[in-house]
Amino acid sequence: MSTIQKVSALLAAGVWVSVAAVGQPQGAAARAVAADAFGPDNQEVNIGATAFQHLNNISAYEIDWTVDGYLSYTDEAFIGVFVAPLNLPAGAEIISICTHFFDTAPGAKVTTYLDAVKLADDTTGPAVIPVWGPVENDIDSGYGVACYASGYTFRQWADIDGDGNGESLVHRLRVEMTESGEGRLALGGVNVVWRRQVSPPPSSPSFADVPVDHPFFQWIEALKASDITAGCSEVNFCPNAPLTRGQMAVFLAKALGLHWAF
Amino acid sequence: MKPSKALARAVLLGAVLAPVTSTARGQSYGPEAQRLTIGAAEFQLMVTYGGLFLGYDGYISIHPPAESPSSPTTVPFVAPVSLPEGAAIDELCLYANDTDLLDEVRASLVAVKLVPPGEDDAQRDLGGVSSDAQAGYRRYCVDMAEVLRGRIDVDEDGILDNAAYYVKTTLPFSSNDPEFASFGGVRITWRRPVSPMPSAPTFADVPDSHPFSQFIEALAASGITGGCGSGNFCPDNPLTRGQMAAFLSKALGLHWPN
Repeated sequence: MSTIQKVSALLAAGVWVSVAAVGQPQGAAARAVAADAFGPDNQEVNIGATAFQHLNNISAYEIDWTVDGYLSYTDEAFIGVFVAPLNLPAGAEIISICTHFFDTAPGAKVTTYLDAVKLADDTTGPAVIPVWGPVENDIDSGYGVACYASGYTFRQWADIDGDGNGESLVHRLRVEMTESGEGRLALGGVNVVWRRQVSPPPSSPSFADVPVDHPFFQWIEALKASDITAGCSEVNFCPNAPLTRGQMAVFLAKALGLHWAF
Repeated sequence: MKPSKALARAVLLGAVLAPVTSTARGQSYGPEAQRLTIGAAEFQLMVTYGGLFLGYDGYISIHPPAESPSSPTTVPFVAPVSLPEGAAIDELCLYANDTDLLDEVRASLVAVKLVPPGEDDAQRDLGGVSSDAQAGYRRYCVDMAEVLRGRIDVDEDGILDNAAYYVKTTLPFSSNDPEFASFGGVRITWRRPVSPMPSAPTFADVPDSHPFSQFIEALAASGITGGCGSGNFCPDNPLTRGQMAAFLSKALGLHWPN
């Protein structure tokens, strides 16, 4: 059983776990991107420490990569703030976020957040809005991983400040590290478990023959909203009509933007 | 400065700053327009100059070194743009905070030729947008009409080149105050068009004139279908649930558990 599976089992019970010395770390993948698989099942992405950058300038000798691929932070005077972008499809639900770290420094801790950064429009200024966390990790005993459930739905455009207007959002993982001067504190990376969600249906139906209580209402509306179908006539979708192979080709080619050869 | 020397210096700096570059994105499906928002944290400083300053407002600005170098007029940042083959870009927006008296913040989409041995280098600016002086926090947008292809004729010599795309954002340099101009990111509005028709039809029963020919050709080109046999696609045959399963599994590469 992998670390993630062990942690997932604990997560299933809704508990927040801090597991020390769970074996060798999985290695920091230099990837700031979503694993872009399909279907509604859970998938995960590992964002290694090399994908993080310091929020402000610090000197080279306060960061060390050489030991195990983890990012060691050794400044006693300041909190080290490291950020990495997180990009998921619109509507992705974040299931859980796990921080992999190393901590033998008494009193030092690693704290993880997920921030939504609101980009300023013409009327309101920018804002950094934590949408998950802080989750603090302080074990002092070596390699650890700490996970906590989320439930945040990922959007690039949403009214996150509740002012009635949508705004562009970018997301970043933020890890803050403090040092005590003894032992070692390091970040290995962050694991994000997420899943695709079909968009919620509108309040009024697009097609006369697919009312809101139709068993396939949500899915047919999702196809309409993404411009994959316009229905079988001006007002109907014909949900019970048989599909031809040719119609199937239209649906798939439109949905996936097929297929531009290199 | 020769590129190799600049690179060596950038590597020294990069070892500290560890600039982040996303190479792929979470993307939606269907022909409807969607947005790719590239935040400041995904940009890296393009020259060896002091450092970047990623502020607590999420915006990025330049961080002048203690000893001021020969002053550049602008300081460039770059972030890769990785979209599917054939993606159509409709709009580019820049989120900037410009309190500078004279100069502007600018974002543009750039194609870079990956140069084969013996050929000349080339880059092409595909269009961009600039801020207004002293406007504060604002969004600036420009319409675009670019279809991104992995192979385009960057240098317009009649030969297709392998191309990479990035967004370049330039901050003005006119004082040592790191707060005077910053940017929050770039938003690209794009769509997934269906690929154009091939010159000759693939299936005998789907001629150019067939209303679904472009879509059926796209499925054939992507390897999702080989037809129904004997060089035909059988577009009017009803689809069975089993065929539906095969189409979907092949199209989406379903499903490898983690």
